[in-house]
Amino acid sequence: MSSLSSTIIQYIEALQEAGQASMGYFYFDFRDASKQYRHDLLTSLLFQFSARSALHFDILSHLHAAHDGGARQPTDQELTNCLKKMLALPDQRPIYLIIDALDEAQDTSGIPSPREKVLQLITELVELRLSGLHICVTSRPQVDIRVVLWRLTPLRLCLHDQSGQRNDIVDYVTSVVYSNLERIMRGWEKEEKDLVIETLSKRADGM
Amino acid sequence: MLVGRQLGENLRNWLSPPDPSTNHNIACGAHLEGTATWFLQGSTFQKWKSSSSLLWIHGKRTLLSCYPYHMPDGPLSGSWLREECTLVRRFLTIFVQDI
Repeated sequence: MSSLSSTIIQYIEALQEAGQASMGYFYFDFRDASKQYRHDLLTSLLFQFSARSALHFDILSHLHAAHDGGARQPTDQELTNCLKKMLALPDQRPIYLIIDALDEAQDTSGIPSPREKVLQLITELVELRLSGLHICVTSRPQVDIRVVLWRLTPLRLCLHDQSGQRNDIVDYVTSVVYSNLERIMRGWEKEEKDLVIETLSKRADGM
Repeated sequence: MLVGRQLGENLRNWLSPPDPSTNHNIACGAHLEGTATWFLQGSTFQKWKSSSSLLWIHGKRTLLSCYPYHMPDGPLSGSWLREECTLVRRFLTIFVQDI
C-alpha cells in the first residue's frame, strides 16, 4: 500500500520538477505519534507548499503574524482555512495531495474521533470542487473510512482485484529471496526458496 | 533573504510539522524499480490524472503485516506447520525489518 503511494509520489515529483504539478503528501503512521492527527497532516502540507512558493509562504506567515508572531497556536480550523487559501490561489499548476494509510490515523474515542476529523477535512477539500485539485487516499477499508469515501468518489481501486499487483509481489519476493540479500538466504534449499515465494505470493492481499 | 529564512525557521518552530519524507524514503526502499507500472498505466490512474477528483485506493496495508491474520483458526496441521509456519516465519523474521 505504502509502496504504491510512494510510486505515485515519485511519479508526481517528476511532474513537479518539470513544472507541471504541485504536490503535498503525507503518510499516516501508527508507529509515529507525530503522524496520526489532522493537525499533523495540515501542518505538514502547509509547510510543503510554503517551501516551494513565495505566495504560499505569504499565506502561512500571515497566519503566524495573526497569532502574535507565534505566541499562540492556531486551531485546526484556522490551519484548514490556510490550506484552502493555498489550494485556491489563482493560476496554479495542477495540485496533487497524496495521503497514505489513512487507517493509521488515531482511532481513539472522541466524537468525532481523530480519524473522523481527518475524514472531515478530506470531505471539505473535495467539496471545494477546485479544478486542478487531485487527491489520492490509500487506506484499509475500515467501516468509518469506507462510509465517507464511498460517498465522496466513484473513483476507487481495490487492490485485491488487481492482477498486476500480484505480479509485483511475486517479483519483489523473488528478488529478495534470490538476489538482493542472498547472503542472508544462504543455506536455503531451492525448494525452500520457491516455497517461500509461492506461499507469500499466494497470501498476498495488498502491498 | 536572511529575513525570509529566519521567518521560515520561526514558523517551523511554531508549528513543528512532522516530516513525511522519512516514511516516503522507507516506502521507496521497499519496492523495486518498475514496480507498480501496472497501476501507472492503468485506466484508474489515468482517469484520476485527467479529472479533478478524489481517488481512493483500498486494500490491506502490506503483504507482510497482513500475513499473520491468515493463520488457520483450528489446530495447526503438521504439514501446514512445516511448509508455511517454519519457512515463512523464518523468512519474515529476517526480512520484516526491511519492509
